[in-house]
Amino acid sequence: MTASIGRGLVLLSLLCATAGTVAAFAAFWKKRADLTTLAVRAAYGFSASMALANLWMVAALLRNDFSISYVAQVGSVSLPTWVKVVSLWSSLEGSILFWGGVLAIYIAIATRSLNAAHGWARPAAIGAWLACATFFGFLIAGPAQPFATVVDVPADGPGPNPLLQNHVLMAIHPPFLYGGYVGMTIPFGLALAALLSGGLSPTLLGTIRTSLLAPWTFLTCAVVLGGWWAYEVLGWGGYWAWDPVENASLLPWLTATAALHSAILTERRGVLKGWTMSLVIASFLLTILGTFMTRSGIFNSVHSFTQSSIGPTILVFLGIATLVSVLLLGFRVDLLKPDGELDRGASRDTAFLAQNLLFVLFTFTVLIGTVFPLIVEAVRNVQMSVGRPYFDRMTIPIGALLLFVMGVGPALPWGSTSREDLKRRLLPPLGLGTAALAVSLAFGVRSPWTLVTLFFAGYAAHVTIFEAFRPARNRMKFRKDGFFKAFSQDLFGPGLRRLAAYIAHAGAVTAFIAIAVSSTRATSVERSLKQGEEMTLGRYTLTFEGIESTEETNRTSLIARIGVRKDGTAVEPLRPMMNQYRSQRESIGTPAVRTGLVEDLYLSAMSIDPDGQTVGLLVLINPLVSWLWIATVVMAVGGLLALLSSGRVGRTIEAARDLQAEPVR
Amino acid sequence: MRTDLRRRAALAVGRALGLFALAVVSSVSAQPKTPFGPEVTSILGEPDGAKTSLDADVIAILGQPEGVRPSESTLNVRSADIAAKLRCPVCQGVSIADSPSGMATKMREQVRDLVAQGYGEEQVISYFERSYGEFVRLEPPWRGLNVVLWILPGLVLLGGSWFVFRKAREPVTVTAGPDVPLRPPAPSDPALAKYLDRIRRDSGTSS
Amino acid sequence: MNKRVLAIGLAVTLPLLGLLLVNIDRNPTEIASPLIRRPAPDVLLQKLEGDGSLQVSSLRGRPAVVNFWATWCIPCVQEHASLTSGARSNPDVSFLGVVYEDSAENARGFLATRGSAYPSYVDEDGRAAIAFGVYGVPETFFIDARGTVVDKFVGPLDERTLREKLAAARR
Repeated sequence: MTASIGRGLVLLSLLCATAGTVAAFAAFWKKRADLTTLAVRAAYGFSASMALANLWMVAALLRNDFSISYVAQVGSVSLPTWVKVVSLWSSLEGSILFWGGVLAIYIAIATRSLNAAHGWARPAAIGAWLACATFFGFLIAGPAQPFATVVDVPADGPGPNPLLQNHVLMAIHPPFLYGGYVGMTIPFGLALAALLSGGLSPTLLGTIRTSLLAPWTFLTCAVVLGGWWAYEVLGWGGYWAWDPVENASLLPWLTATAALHSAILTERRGVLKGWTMSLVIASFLLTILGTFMTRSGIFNSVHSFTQSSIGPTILVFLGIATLVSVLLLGFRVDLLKPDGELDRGASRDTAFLAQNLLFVLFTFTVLIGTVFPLIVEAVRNVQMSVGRPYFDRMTIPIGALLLFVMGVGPALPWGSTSREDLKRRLLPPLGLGTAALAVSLAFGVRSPWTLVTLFFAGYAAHVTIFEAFRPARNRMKFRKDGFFKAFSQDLFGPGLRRLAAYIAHAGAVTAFIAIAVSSTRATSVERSLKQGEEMTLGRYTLTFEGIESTEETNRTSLIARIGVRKDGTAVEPLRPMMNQYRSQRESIGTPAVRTGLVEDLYLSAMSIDPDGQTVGLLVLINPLVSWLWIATVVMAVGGLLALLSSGRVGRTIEAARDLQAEPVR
Repeated sequence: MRTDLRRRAALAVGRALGLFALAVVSSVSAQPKTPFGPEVTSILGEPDGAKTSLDADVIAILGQPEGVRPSESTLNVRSADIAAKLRCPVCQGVSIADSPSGMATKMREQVRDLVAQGYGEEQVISYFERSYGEFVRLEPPWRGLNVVLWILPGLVLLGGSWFVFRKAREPVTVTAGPDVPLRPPAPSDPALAKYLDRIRRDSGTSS
Repeated sequence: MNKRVLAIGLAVTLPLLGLLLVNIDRNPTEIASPLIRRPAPDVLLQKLEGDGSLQVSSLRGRPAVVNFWATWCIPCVQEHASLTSGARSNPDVSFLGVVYEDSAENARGFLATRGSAYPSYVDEDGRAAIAFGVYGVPETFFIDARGTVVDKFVGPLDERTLREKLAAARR
């Protein structure tokens, strides 16, 4: 009974999505406002029923209602409440239902935010969103049905995949990833609407930008959360291995970041409209490609837990969405006429172009590296690998160039300028760049790319800080405002958008430094220790104190207790573990990490021998890793503030008035 | 005068970017040992655990070692370099240097042994390739179809840079000033609009 | 219509879609062994029971079956019976087990309770597993009388499969 209510809700959402798609496109082609109203209602209908279906599933999980197939598959009476809730996305069927739920929220909000100012792009966009919703509704109602009725209702279920319970990050990573992946549907629909209606009004462009910022922020967190999970769980001491699934989450982030920047050019200059739309569309298509890569099981990855039969269905959707997008771009892009010109020469415009080029190059490199083994297999019938050495070699120079552009770009003026002005803008940041270089040399950094990265990072940091406080400084200078008054006007006024961008840049610079230093300055030792034996690495002295063991229902764990002394003072002992899961061949280690702002002490047990009382230990000192997590928070705050500021665009004129404080030469 | 300056600025930017493109391409084609240099001080295996007797199978595949036994520090660096290029067969796409699994540890020890006996990087990798195939190489060798993988990103960079230079150096076609007012549209007061336009152009701060 | 945009768009996306389509059934864990039709790796194996060792090249002259196994591996436990009976009914074939990523004690204990019909060897440093290109257990290699690897089987062997593969090794 409860299962059929769930199925009913899913079917209702599918019906609303299908009817809404038809109504919306009919409204667009026939230019009928009454049909638009109908489509809007259908969109809300989809959102409501799909959201209810999700709530229904959560309720069933909490009530241990094993008459529903998904609950019988992943639920268990003994689970803590939070595990029951996160079980919603712990397995394939539930995660697709959750996808539908996130899409429901996005579509409801996006539909509400469209208004008459969007013209006929409004029904077109709703049509595109609901077309995607139709596909996912179909997927939930058919191939990935989570609400199938169980005939012989079991008394208890097995609980979710034990690996998912291994770390709390497994519970919070998917919502961020889906918030990013699913959210790309909204700007995608708007971009298709721009192409269909043959015009990109400033209002529509603004909505696209806003709708891109939300998934961008989620995706920024998701990419790094994936890395954090790898760092905390996999035990090799790193956070990024260029695994296909990691790459899949990075790809749409790269194109979305490029799109956010090219949208600025489109907004200010009225150019590159088709290009911006292409980037937005590519971001969406790459999320579907990423889903396919994770779900189809054709790629080897530590992150893909389910190998499922929905791969072909997703591929069909990817194919249709791609062809529709390419054809629309090909046939309609010329209608998006530029109404301005780019600046030539050493201008901010050129920096934006270079940024876009580098991001696209980055995307292309990661994409080709990820799929290249498939090409070779198809052509030569030989299995091969493209791994970290390739990606590192190719992307480190691209990353360094991006950092260079991030430093020089914001220092360049909008519009052309004199040579003296260029010097005035570009030379001072060399100071901090050189300082960064000197400090790194003093710390013994010798690898050329790390030095280049840190030099550019110093340069970019100077420019970012200078530009972030520039309006406030001008106010202080010409209006004699106090710092807090001057700065709060940016924070609480329309200047927030500009500030938010520089906060995101500050996060990015920090991330660059953290990545460059942590990946090249790690120290590692592999040692086998007998009980009572000591070893020293860096400022740490480690003592193997003994072995503990724990027995749980799904695993047996051996724990090595390692006493830690830092500079001679005893600190909290660390407990790396080896877990033998009942269902797994090899035992899985759980590393122990002592996190610090300067460096992490990372212990990973390679082997624990309870009889011989020995432990094989991988000890790493990873500098600045925690700054990568901090940088991500900063970037996400930048994204959120930018999202907040987009509600204030109407007040831009007030912002411009503030600039009157600056004298006109 | 102004256009001349613009052209020269454009040329300077063009040259700078060109140099960067060249640097990237050459860094890729030169194939340095590792992109990071020998700063990762990783010690693989037990220092005293190295076997000295020669393995019949190794000799059958690689022949007698030609090189000489490297010093301890060279041995560490060289073994770490090679380990980072070998795919761990029991893992999911990570190198044996990056895997804590037992099999990866044993492979690292064998790498170290082979290096200690004087075999070169390519020989060590080819020993593993004999049994695991090209699959074991995380870094595709520069041959056959793989060349496409190495040069395509470079071609995209060159094509893209050419496009950007062309854009940056194209003569201005529209006589109107490059500064289109910030959208949403300019304020209805034309005097204010003009004024703001001027401020923006002069201050370069609006966005 | 912008032909250039259309051409570039199709040129980028169609090959990618086609590539995913032809690979839809790909199983990334199935990796062909490059050892097939090549000489078997000539590694030295230490006996599990008692002293003594075996150089794999000394097996030449008769077909051989090399089975990598471990006590923690459930499929290995499953195939143990068919391998044992296979060894008993094919006295002209050398069967040998190689213990993979497991302790000698565990292996000895397992064989003591389950019985064995052919010798097992230990591979403490993993050299044999590496030389044979083992990805996991169970993996079984079939070697003909000339010392050439003729086949590799991944997963638990049943008696019928064993018979078929042996026939190929005898040829």
